[in-house]
Amino acid sequence: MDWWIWLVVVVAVLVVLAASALAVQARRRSGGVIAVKRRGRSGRGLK
Amino acid sequence: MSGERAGAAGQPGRERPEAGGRGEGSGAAGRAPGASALMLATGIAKRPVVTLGGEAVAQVRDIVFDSGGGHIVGFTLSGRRRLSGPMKRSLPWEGVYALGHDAVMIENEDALEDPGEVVERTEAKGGDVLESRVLTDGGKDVGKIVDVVVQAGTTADVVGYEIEPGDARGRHPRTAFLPRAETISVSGQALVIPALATEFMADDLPGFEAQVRAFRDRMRKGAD
Amino acid sequence: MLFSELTGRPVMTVAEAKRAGVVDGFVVDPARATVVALRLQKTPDSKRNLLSLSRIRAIGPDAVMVPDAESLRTAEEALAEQAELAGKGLDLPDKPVLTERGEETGTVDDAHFDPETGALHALVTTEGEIPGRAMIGLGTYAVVVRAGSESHPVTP
Repeated sequence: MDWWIWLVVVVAVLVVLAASALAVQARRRSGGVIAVKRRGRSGRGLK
Repeated sequence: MSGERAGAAGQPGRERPEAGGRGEGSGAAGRAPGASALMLATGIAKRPVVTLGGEAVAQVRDIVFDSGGGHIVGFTLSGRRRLSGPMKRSLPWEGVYALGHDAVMIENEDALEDPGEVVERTEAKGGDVLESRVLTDGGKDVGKIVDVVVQAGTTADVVGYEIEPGDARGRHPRTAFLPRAETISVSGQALVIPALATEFMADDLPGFEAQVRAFRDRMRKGAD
Repeated sequence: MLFSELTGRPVMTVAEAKRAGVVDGFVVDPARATVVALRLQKTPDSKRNLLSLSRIRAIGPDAVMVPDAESLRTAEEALAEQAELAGKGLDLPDKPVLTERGEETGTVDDAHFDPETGALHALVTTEGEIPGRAMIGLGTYAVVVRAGSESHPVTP
């Protein structure tokens, strides 16, 4: 097989790694809107 | 550095400046429409947390609210650097000096607390309402939550949800706003609302403020 | 006087008639709304680059006169002399302006100050002028001003 095939493979792997690292980092930083139940708050919840 | 200032400025202390609107407490009466302090939760996320001394100490990660009353109880934080992850500190609402469109202001870093003060790790796992399905108590699927509407003032409250209808054939082809009901159940998968709330939907935020008020009035009458 | 008028003006010693530096920045104490020192560049000793306002003999149209090069201070020395906030990143120009409510109102372009006393009269921002006394804090991220002070129109 041609030697440069391996070069392409290595570059592709690096790109995939970098992309996944970025995606993981974005997930770690991005949050959500979390609903929690707080007791002792005048029980208005159930009407 | 700020010792002298405190006297000169009239120590801001616990009285926060109001961000536009008046809190939920003043109810429907005498609130000028238009001066809307409604904002979207995904816009609050990533906002910097800035001290009155002008230092950015964190950025907002999660918005945590009480599913019963809708009050925002605080924020979890992540670091300001590109590579920093979640912070081991959180910001309870009591520590917030003002919630603005460009920053969440705190007096100083003492406002930050341990994460457990705002939300326990176990609670945080299943509690995210973004991407949740919304069902009426009659069993109708209203759509998927894509954002949460927050009204900011001296308190900050979740007043509604922006939802994306499940089927494009519905009456609301684009996203619509749905008032948050006081009786609500939330799980990781779905959120159950009274069917009445779907009668008070709005297509945009300015129209939504009036709908929220109308819905509250109706709920109050229903309860009497 | 505007910050921009003084920036770049050479600093000369009276004793030796030598150049001691060039005005590069302003160290501001936000609590007192006062310029406490000038930051210089091209000083003989690059670490001794702060000039307390009280050490200045005169601010002339072509040069700032100081008694001698000994008048310049390092950040640590300035700190000991109460001219705190000499740290980096606290320059006003180009800093975003945030009100205490968390609303951004432009960035700082320039500032008016009294070269005699150092009193900071007003911040000139991209969206108008803000009285210096409205300043609450000045950090690396932003200058924080009292809410309601941001709507002053630009004076011609």
